[in-house]
Amino acid sequence: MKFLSIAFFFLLFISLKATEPVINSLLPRGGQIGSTQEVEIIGQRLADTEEIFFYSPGIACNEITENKGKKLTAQFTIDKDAKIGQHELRLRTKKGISKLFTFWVGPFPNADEKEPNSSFEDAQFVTQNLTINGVSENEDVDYFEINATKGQRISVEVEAIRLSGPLFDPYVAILDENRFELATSDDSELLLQDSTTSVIAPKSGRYFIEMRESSYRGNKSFCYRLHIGSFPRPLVAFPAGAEAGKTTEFTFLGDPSGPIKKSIFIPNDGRNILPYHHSENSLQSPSPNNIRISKFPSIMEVEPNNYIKQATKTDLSIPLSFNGIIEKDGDIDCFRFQAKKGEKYYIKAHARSVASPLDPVLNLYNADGKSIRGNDDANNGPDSLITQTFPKTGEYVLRITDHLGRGSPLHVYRIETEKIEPEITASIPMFSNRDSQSRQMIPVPRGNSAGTSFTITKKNFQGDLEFLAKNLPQGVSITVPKTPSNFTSIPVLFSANKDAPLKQSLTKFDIVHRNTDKNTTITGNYKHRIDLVYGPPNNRTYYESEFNVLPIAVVEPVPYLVKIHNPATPIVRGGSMNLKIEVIRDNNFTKDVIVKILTRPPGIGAKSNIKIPGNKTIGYYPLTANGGTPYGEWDIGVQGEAPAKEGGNMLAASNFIKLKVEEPYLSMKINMSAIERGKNGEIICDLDINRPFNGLAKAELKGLPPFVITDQIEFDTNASQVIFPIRTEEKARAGLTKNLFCFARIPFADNLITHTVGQGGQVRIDNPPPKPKEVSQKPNVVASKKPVKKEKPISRLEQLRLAAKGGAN
Amino acid sequence: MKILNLFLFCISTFLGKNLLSEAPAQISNAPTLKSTNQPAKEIKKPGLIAPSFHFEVRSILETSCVSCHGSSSQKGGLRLDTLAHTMKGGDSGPAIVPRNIKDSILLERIHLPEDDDEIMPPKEGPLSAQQKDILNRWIESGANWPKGVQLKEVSDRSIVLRNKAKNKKIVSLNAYPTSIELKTQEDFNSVVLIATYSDDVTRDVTYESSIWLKNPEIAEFSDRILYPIKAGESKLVAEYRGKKVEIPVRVKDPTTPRPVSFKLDVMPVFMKAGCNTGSCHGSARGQDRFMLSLFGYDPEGDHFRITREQGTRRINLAIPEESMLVEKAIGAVPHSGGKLFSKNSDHWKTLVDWLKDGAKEDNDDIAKPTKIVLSPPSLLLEGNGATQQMNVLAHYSDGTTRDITPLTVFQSSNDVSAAIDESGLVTAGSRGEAFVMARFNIFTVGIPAVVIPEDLKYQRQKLPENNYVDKLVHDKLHKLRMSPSELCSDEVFVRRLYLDITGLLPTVEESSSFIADTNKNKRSNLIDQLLEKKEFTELWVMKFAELLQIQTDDNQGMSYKATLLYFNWLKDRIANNVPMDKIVKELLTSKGGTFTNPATNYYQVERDNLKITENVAQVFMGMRLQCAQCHNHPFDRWTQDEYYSFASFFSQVGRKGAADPRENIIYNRKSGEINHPVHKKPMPPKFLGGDSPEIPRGADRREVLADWLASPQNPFFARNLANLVWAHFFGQGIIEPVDDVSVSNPPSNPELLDQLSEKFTSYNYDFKKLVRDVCNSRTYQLSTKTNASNESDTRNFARSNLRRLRAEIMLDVISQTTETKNKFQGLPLGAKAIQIADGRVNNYFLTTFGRATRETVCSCEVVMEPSLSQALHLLNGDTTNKRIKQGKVIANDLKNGKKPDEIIDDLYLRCYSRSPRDSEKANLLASLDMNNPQEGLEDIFWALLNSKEFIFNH
Repeated sequence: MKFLSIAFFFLLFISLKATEPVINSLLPRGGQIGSTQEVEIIGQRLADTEEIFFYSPGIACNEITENKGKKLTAQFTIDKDAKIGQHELRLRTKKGISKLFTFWVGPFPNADEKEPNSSFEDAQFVTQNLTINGVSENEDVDYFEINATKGQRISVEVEAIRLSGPLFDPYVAILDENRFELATSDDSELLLQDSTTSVIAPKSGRYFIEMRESSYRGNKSFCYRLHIGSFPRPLVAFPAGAEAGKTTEFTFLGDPSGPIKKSIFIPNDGRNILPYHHSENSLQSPSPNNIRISKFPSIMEVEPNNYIKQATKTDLSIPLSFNGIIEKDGDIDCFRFQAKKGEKYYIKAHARSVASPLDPVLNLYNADGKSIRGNDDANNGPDSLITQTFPKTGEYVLRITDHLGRGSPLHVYRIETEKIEPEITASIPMFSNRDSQSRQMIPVPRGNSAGTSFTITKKNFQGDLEFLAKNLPQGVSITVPKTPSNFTSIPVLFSANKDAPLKQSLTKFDIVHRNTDKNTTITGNYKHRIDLVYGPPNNRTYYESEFNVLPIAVVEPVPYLVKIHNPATPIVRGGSMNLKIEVIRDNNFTKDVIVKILTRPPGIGAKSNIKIPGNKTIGYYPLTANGGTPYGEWDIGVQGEAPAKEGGNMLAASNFIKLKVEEPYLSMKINMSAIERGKNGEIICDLDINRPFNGLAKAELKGLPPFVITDQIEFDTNASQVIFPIRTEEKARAGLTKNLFCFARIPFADNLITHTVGQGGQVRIDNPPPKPKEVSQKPNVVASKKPVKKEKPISRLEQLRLAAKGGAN
Repeated sequence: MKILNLFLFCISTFLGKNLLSEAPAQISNAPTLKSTNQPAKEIKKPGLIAPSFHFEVRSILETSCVSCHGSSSQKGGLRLDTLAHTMKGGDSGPAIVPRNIKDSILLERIHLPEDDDEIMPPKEGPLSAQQKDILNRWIESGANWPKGVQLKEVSDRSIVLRNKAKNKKIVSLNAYPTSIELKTQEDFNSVVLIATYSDDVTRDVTYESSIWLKNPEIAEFSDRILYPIKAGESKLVAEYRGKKVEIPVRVKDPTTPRPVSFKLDVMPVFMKAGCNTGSCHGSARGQDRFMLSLFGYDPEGDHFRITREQGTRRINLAIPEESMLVEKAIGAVPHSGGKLFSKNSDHWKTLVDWLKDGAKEDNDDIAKPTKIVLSPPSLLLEGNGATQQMNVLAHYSDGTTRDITPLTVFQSSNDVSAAIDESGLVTAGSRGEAFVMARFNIFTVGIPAVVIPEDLKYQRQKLPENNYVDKLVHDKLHKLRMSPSELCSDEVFVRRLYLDITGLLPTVEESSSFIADTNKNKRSNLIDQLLEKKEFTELWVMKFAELLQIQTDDNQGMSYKATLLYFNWLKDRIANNVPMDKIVKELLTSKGGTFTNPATNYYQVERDNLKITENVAQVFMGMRLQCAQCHNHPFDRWTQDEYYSFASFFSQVGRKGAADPRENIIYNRKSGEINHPVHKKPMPPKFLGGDSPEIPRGADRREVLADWLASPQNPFFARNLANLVWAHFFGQGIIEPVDDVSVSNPPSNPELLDQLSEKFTSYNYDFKKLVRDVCNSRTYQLSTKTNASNESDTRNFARSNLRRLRAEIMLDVISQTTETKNKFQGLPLGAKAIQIADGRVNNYFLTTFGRATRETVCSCEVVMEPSLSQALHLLNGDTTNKRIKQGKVIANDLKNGKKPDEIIDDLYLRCYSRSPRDSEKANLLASLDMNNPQEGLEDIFWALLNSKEFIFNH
């Protein structure tokens, strides 16, 4: 576990960053709704903090009361109608934006854990309906004592892994005063690694809550928020979803007081999920039960439906949802429904996603019960997914059961059918492995630019895209080149005016595909998945959050500009060129600048970066184009990185230039030749000139073995061959050399276009033949006199027999 | 027929030799032995005492004559091994003429002058006057030669041993095989007779007995082998010193030739000649590029390689004798393996006949060997040089049997005590035990052989027997002529029992009060008391955690959390005394998440289904199957087929990820097979050494397996666990190593192991009860001091063994005596080393002292051998010295006003559970600086912790 937390901090601190502020810790990790909570933030480069901003409404940082550079105190005001649960925040300084951090809002007053409470006897006494901010040290067990009256509900819920620190897998138990365990919880379907459990107090008296890491691990960063109280704690809702805009009666299952029934209006505001916090006697459960929202009707199972023939039948056509419970071990539910020919659907079984213990196995059959396809797990999770294009209009049957054949009243499921639609998303690629945050926010220096690249994912369609940024900070403009259909990545440039105010904005993007033929548009979003907790094996993601906004802030100017000069020539397929990059430094700025290409059009190769040393202003960025590079003009941009005094890197992006990709002027074939070592020879290359050119081109043969020398050859547009004279030295080694190739430089408006041609040429260097020996007459005479009699070859066994007789082996 | 001749001759004292040659035709019914003796007595001349054939005559012939004139060599055309041959004589005429000293050439030759070229025996000088006299008197008195006796060359030593057995009482005479069936012309069957004496000693009396066939027309008995003549039934009668035994004989189709079969005749030649061993053509690449399947696991493949792999290079069907295969084997051409047999030998004939027959492959319906029987079933040989001929009978699937002694590979586990030659003759060496094994086809069988010196002064002691354990141990010791050591003292017992049951030393108070206790049953009371301690559970949890390889391996899907849950699951089961069969069933049939059902981690620790198969066999049945994955097990009964049949039980174990990336779900895939590597087809599930169960499609095969594995139907389960328990308390198992149950590694006391396993089953697999039996036995409570008879014993529990404390216990005991606390990752301060859940927890001390790494299931992981680094660590490392200072035992005692001599008493009790001897105490006190005794006392403490008495359990 120590290793894990080290790995976590490693990711947090060591990777290369802009001059952004860093939040190392924020304590306490949460506060009560409708209160003002003072928090202490420890981090780096916090001195010129301008603001702390939140992602969702209802919570704000009104005041930073104290700032010591590496530690600051702030007041968070939490409104009464703020969302209960996780809130995301970032801190902005004059130079950058921090990574995202979370803060938890709960329904109850807060108290701190007080050591010593590591034994049953030393349990810390607390009142009911309280949230304890605690820490699990190594091998630390924390005990809390409460009083409860007979029949009262005792509920416990913990936020530990969800606080987004180390991999903190908590364990809680409710004990009576004789240390007898009334209820325990390690992992839960509702809260994953986090624990929750509740019981009805069997008698009035003292009760104890045990809280620890499930395998007794921990350290100072293992913070938890433990909610103890008599709040309701249903585990799963049935049905697990409903149709938008309708009032539906739900049964909440799993609370020790029994099923709770409640009619709820399902909003029709585009949301997919309604986080519902059940409230009883004005006590709310700290974590919600998530109710899925669909635009289509729900079908409820009617038992018996264990066999395909007994399937619960509807005459409706999909899209539909199917709801039920795998009530007991071995239970199977079947549904019969209508589908239309040619329609393509995702059929998804929601179970774990709605906190059900069911591990669904989904099977699709045609009306006669003939299997079409099935699925157990999909998308790295237990929930099942079938993708199906229906072959004909008519009845089909869905069958669902548990993977291990288990069942219980809590084994709720909801199967949703979703028509497959075109999708677009754009995201910023990870800066390094398992780092979902670095460079995923854009600090734009005043009077300069910042760049990034977007990876584009398109599903179920092809076509060009447009990018529209919706709410850029004041004074910031965006440059996005056109995005042809075959591009999966594009560079994006954000530029700030010299006088743009130092402000941030959580910017949204519309990524639009317009089909003028069909007069349709497809719209997508920017998407950022932040991995908040990593753990073994191989740093897998344990807890994550997803956002569709990109934080962009105007920051103080940086002391240099980067400029790309327009290339004098096009690049040809199979050719190469050097891009001229200029760094324009402020007078007193002498640091090296690392220049990186933002993204490369398909087929273009480039080094990951080049360095322009402090004493130079010009650098050349080598580019190559492979044989499949699409022809056309493509935008190329680079971004500079230079170290800042206070640590981190200052970033500045260049203008975009157009890189023109053209057809090559010629192709070449190198003919194989053999040359005796120490002698001269030649290599003949056949030329095929595709496009005429003016003037003399130059050809240079590469890849010759050591001590084999040739010259550069010139040729004109009419040449059909070039012949390289080859000189070999005695030192050259005999043998075959493969992979010869040729640089052909074609004149183009006072410049040369480099082609790489003739790949795969071969030359063989031979040893000189042995010198003839002094020939004596005798053997010749003998040979001529006695013609060689061809002997029958002897078999292995005969050889062995000879050997046994002592003859030759 | 020949036998008849000589008997006829014995009674016809006045008939000339002309008649003798015609006699067989006239006599159809052989006279009985009794009637044979009768006339000899009657014709005794006055003053002539006829010598005893068995005790006087035969030994002269056997030692001096038969080697050159016997069944294997007939110099001058003469054989002297049967009476008929002797009477017939050689090139110079009959060797003896009864009652005619002058015409008996044998007498003439032995009486020649020493320098005469013709004197017999030619080597090792003339016979002594006494020997000459015996032969003279024998011939003169009618040359009595009992019916059915054939002589063979024997050593002087054998004659000495035979004479020593002369006066012993025979209790039984057994013949092997117990019945004989001869079918086809080439068939034959050897016979072995074994006499058992009143002191359990056995002797091979085949050549000393009279053996004849009741109906001599159907078969010929010669040189202890029976050959078919005519179809029919009869009995072979054998008599030795008044004991008689009969073997039913049946002869069928005696004139039908038997075609040479590749599998039944040729393959065994490869095995017997050693062609297909791992170092020769049985190696994976094959010696000199000619590969035969190792020990013949793939006969079809071998047939292909011989006949077709390199064209017909290896065989020559036109001139079979000139095939490379044949010429190499007889060394006619250079052969890396040398000459394996000679031209015209039986093996050679088999190969050539097979080639002459067209080198055919066998039909599919050819009979398969179903078992082989090695006889006699046990040997107790007395005296260096005693011999016993073994014989091996194979049973075939068509109900026939065949004497395969010449085709069997023989081995002995202890050549020093009982060597066995390639013909199956066991020769006793020095005192000891051996396991004599025979290997043929896929079978390996063995029998125990014990060798004791002759003239041993031994009297079986009447010893108290606390329970069945003692009786069986004493019985075995009696066979070995050993007496167990005396009972250990209370001081030794209390320390031994605490260490073995709780893994801790008794405290000073505990040992003192036990020693002072005068209750007669105090030892068994203490056993009961300690069995209820939680340390007993913890110790066994640790041992099983080793077998289940409980340890973290994050990248193999064993997170620390899973490890801890798995360990706690095991702890919970053992602490609640859940019977072992239930635990094993729960493990093997487990399904679900590795967090929610920790038993499933059994399939997570090891994810290779073949390895799981091997681990199940090794951990729960004590068998190492690994070899059989690639070829038939070379030293055991397991074939590749059986391996894959057993592996089939695990072929449908499914694994998939769960919601938590550290967790996995184990389930029944309901389909999936493991293919046999030779024929690439799956094998149906079959219990190891058991039946093939009917398993419905989709049913969990593991459940079927678990029901059998942990049940009395599985002969290995209870035995293995019983052996594990035994090994813990004696430092070695009845089978040792405990996880190497195989034919070639038999139990040292099978009856004891059987009884323990039977008890364990009847105790419903409650191993606390078994431990109680073991600890209450006198055998467990023996002293480590040896007596003259048992000092060489290592395997028969005649005394207690000195056992080094295992790593965890040693560390716990050091912290206990020094009153210091351990800190291990994941455990609270002061926890014991035996409580460590995760095998990956690092600890220098434990590693140095050979803690199990839990990387394999092998019992060999726990290293008990002392090493230099261990000694150096105790002497110089920070464990002892630092802890003595840290624990402040001495400082506190001094502070509390204890006197140095009291402290020395206390230290001795603390470390050794005994008081110091007066001499020890006096010396130690003398070395102390009485004004400042602390340092000196700490040195004494350090010395005690470094002593052998401390680090060994005794």
